[in-house]
Amino acid sequence: MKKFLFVYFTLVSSFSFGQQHTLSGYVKDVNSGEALIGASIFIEGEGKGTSTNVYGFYSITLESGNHKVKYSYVGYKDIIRTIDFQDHVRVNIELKEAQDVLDEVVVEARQTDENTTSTQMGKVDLSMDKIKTIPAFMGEVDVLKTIQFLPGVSSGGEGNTGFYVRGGGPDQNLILLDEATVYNASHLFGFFSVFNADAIKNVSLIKGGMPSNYGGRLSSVLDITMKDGNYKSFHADGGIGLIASRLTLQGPIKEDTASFILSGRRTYIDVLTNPFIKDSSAFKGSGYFFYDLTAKLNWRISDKDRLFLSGYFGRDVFSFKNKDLDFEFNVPWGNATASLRWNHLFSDRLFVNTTAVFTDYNFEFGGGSSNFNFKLASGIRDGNLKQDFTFYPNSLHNVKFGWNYTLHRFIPSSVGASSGDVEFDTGETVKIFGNEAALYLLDEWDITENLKVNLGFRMSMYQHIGPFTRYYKNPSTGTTDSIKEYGNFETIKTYFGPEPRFSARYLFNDNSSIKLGISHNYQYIHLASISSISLPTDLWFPSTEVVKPQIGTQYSAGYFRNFIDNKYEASVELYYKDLKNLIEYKENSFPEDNLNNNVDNQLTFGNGYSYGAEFFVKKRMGDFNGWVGYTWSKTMRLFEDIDNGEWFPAKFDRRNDLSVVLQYDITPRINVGAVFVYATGNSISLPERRWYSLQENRLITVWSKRNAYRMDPYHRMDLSLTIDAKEKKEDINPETGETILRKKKLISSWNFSVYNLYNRLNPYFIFFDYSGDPVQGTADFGAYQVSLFPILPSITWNFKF
Amino acid sequence: MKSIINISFTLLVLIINLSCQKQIEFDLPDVEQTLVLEGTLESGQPPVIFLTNSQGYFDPIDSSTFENVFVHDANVILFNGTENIPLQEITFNGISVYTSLDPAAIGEFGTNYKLTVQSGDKELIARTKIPYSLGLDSLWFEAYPAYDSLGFIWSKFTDPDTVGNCYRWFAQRINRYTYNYPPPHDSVLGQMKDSRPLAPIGSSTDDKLFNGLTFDFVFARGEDGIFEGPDDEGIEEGFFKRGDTVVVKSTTTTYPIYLYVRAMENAAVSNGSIFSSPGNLPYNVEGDGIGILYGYGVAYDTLICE
Repeated sequence: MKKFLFVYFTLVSSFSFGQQHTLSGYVKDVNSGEALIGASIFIEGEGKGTSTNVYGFYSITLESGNHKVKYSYVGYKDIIRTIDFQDHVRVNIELKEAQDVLDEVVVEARQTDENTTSTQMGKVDLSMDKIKTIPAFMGEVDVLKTIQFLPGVSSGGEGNTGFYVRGGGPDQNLILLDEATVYNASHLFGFFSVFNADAIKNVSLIKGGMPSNYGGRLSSVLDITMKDGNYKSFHADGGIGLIASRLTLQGPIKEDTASFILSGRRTYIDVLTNPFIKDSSAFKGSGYFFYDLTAKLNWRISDKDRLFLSGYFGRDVFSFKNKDLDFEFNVPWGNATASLRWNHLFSDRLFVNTTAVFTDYNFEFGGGSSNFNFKLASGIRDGNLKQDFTFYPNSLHNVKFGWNYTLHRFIPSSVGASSGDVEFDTGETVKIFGNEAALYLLDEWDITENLKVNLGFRMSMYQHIGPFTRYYKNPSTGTTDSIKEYGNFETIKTYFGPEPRFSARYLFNDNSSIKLGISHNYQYIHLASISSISLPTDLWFPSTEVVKPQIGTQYSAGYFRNFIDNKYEASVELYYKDLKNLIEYKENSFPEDNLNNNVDNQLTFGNGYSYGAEFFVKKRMGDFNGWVGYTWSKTMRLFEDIDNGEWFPAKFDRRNDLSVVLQYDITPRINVGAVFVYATGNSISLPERRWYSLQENRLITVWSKRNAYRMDPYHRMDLSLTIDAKEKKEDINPETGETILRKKKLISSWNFSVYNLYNRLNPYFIFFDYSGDPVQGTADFGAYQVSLFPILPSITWNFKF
Repeated sequence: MKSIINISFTLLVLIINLSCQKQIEFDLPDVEQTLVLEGTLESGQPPVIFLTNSQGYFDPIDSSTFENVFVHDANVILFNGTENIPLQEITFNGISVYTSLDPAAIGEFGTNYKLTVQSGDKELIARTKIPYSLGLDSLWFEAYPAYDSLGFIWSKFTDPDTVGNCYRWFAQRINRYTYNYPPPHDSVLGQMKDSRPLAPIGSSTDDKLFNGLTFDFVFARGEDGIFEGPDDEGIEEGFFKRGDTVVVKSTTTTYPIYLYVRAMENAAVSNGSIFSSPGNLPYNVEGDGIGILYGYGVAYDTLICE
């Protein structure tokens, strides 16, 4: 590998002609010192440029001489510097937000042509400022719900944060928070995401043509970067909303050198309802709440070294008590992540980030009465080490390479139960250990002025290792025929995954381009769900000798065009995705079947495909802005043990999916936002027949083929109004007696949102029942649709100082 | 802050009260009737086999529906491992049942059975076994602390140290109602409380949790399927009552029947719930139809709730 890299870099570097020097540095916000991600560095008159990475670092190698360099970033004032290249130059730039620029012509958000010039297909970066003005469910700003408004991204259901990208399952999305994998990104059974918007700096979604520095998932990458914390001064942000309040504190530990940010959020449904439950009530003590804490420390050790320590801890806790029935249960679940990152500059052209990550997700269900108790638990724990190198050999190449290793520990289910003094035999807790590793290399190469390619290759590997107990079951009796024990670190099964990635862009002119992408991905972990919706009880399960890795291949092509000086951008993208080795629980599986057994004995395996067309038009600038996204798609699945191996529509197969997101700045302090969504109804199975069981005196349902029918279409409109208080107040200068404007210490805003404006009764689920008495020979059968959220107004007060 | 909390609480109450349901219609294609076999082979008892046709799910039920579901004139043969016993169709009160009083057809412990059904051009085959029965160690009634005269039946049971045993629990109150209930149950005085042994939800289990153990377990009172008795709603629902005489029918059964009963009972309570996935039951009938052939090894105990 080392030899290969050496030869490769020698070749790539040899494209240099004449005397060349490197311009590098960091781009950050002048007020907070926050690194700006994706800021553009453009060499005027030469058609060359680059952009900052997630740490705000950039590097570009140019021939000696004078160059005019323009630094720009969305919503910030451009800076143009003339730089004389006679040696390697380090230039750190601090950009000012456009609204802070007084007595100057305020420059609108940068007129970027990145939409057409980048080789990356299906990538969307979302600005947190914009997300915060989009109407929010119950007033809680939610990045996961916002990305569902993008073409190719389907919602998991009413009010749900789960999402499906281009026909992939919810487990096929890699969700990263400061490079730590978040396995369950939702609170309250999916209605809210775990990400506190106040602590987030950047949200980036890649839904197609995944570059080779990402892996381990088939469908998408949602890369969320937390704020660094203000390096200049102390600030607090917060909000009081309908169901939760939040507070963020940030500031310098040492000015311009080290900073922190600490953010917390908690719901108060339990606090609000508890006073209304009488002490004598049988249900006293029941309740639900969630909270999350996000923290980050940053230290600029030197011009070449930076350290970042960030963490997340969140919990949902659901308690139920019934004193009359002497019964109670508690259901806590949540994620914890910690990541330590070290940025180091080996040279002006070689940037390396070394990361150590700890991720933990666990779910518990414990309860019982005075005589009987039970406890169910499952979880995942990952330790991850990786190094990502970025090498900028010359202005034609941007090379990334690195390695990644993760030690997984899965506990699919751990059960304990007792009756009085008798402990039931719930078997050994089955833990599954796995080594996952990858090496990758990619080169973003400007072959000509018009043709740019991103060539990448990732070699991944997964090993299922001991200790492990394999149960061989007799299917007709359910008994264990034999057991095989594997020792510590014993290799049980090894998989290798060659993952070529390719994307290319051909620029017709400054405003239009076509792009192609092919990506081949391996995914070594799977999510199995017994229920119809995503729940915290869903099991993450790794590849074993029974469960093969999921394999996905995506082909995509798109035409991208910007209009009217890049004020509008538009695209049409086509994709075809092929999926192999998907898993589902076999029909009539129950959680208790995992006891004294392996979960994979309950699974069935299959394949899938999805294809579609995505249309996107966006107005990027001006008082009136927003986008319209429309997707036509078809997503099918095939499992050997379901419907005799016939193809059936996936649950989230949506033929039509439309999102309209609009915002209008009525004045600089008043903004209105509107969202309209329309989607073909979810596919469902229906009861087609029934028979009467005389032995059980019950009506038994015979179901249709899997997902053979559709619910009603889903559509709704949301509105929001955000009013910012005046940031400055008039004051009298005591010395001169003149009226001056002073910035207020406390700046606040009100957000009013209405979810489901026209009170559409959208289907959440459907159940089937009858009226009358079948025993008496009088019964009418019907289908009943349950709608979850009617028109929902909400109000949130936000503040910062 | 206080006003925000007040607004929040008011809105929360509104939300909880506004989520709603409505009846909807689906345009379902006409589906073919399916031949359904439902039978029981029980130790010491003659076979009881019902043959019916399925109906469209949304077809209404009227007074003629029940009689019309039965399949007549089928050729039903029970094989007990040594001989084929033809079963006769008997119709009583509109209910058609295939059975035989031939001693060879009476359920025997430890016997494997095969049932063959020929009806028109359709053929069904079902297999089951009557396992050896295991009685309970003891039974007792425990009144619930909150309700003076109501309680559950507790049992002590010893599972043999051979993994793979499956069980199903039934109970029948054989005493009579001593008073009437509000309409439509205003004439139950003097009637036997349960007309047959009833299984509560969760009535069947295998022994993977308690193989070889002696332990106590508790069961609530079962209901007679969709028939709602006078004490199946309100405070008495699910409880036995002090003074009840209860015959507990504890049965051993097979793994496929345990899987079927578990799925059937789960379907009865989940009823399209989002917390489960709809699916067809794991029938043990092969051929041109669906159905279940139960096999039970039975032991009886009687308890007076005191």
